[in-house]
Amino acid sequence: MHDVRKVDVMENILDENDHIAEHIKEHMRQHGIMVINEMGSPGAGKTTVLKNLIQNLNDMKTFVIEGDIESDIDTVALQDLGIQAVQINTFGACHLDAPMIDHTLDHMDFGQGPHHDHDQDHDHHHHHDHDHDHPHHHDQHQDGNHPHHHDIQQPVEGILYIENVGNLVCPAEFSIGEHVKMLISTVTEGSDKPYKYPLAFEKADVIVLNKVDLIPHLDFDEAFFMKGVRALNKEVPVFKVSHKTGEGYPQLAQWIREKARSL
Amino acid sequence: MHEYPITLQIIKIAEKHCREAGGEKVKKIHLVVGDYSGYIGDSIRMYFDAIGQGTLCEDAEIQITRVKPQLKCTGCGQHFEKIPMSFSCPHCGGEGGPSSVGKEFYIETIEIE
Repeated sequence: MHDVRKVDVMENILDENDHIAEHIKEHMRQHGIMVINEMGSPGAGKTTVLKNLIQNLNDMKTFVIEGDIESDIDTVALQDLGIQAVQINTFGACHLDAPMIDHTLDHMDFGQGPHHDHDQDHDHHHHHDHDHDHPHHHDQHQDGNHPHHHDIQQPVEGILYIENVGNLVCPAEFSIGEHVKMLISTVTEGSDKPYKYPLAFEKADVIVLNKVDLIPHLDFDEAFFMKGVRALNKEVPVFKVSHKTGEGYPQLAQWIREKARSL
Repeated sequence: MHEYPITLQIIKIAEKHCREAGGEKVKKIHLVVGDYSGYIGDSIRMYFDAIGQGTLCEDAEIQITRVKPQLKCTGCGQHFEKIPMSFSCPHCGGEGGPSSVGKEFYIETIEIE
């Protein structure tokens, strides 16, 4: 005779995904790479924004993971520009998740960072011959001994852009190891999107309002759009950009640089 | 569509807790699913019937507590349910901001034997 008994679980269903995402985030940071999760509706201009950013940030190492249900059109176009780009096809899934990214990273080459690998017999005196600037916490080291694992992190010199599946709903819910959630919104999709898709706007660390050169041809109500954005996200910077005119990209690139420096 | 992998995850978590508690079968799973979590309870149930077969959760009853999303007023601090196309607080007219109410997505309890 079996007794039925209740067991407390209290476990978030996305815990495993989030755990993997945290691992990716830390691991990439250790490699000196900032991860940007780029989200937006299909046709918002994610790939075009990416290309423009890569041009404006051409002193940083660039890596791209492209997420699409099918096809590798964007990946091939990026590869043709000499960028290391890898395609994930989900064949049905509407968003990327952390396990997918984790698996993909295994197949990518991020090169050696400026810090050498640690061997057991590595000589740990304090004579760093690194030629880049980084904060040097001498007070953490005593008697010439210090923890084998460097507390001093590499400066961020590279960016991994993950272009998520075109979708204004689901990607916002999933952490995939990013340091920055970048939302691409566009003047052509109407000014009511923050009201209809609140989570995407709430979770964004930076919002790019794309195709602003088309405003004279549209009824885009910028005040209404910004009111919706601000109700959800008091602090998020919003950058107005246009591929046609090039406006906004230097400022957005600067924001990214500063963000990378602050990591 | 994305309820499919999430249902697999629910089964995995339920099986783990069942085994840890020395149980042999999961009879019931109690989920808390907020409307803003991005998941639809009925879709989870639908996938569950199919995917649960052959697992410790086979034929388990899925009980779902829904949580309606609420904003929190930045003026008076009260929570309220949002009406379409507006963030205004019905109590004081102030502006509502996001809250965590409605984003829940967890397994609260399971019943095992």
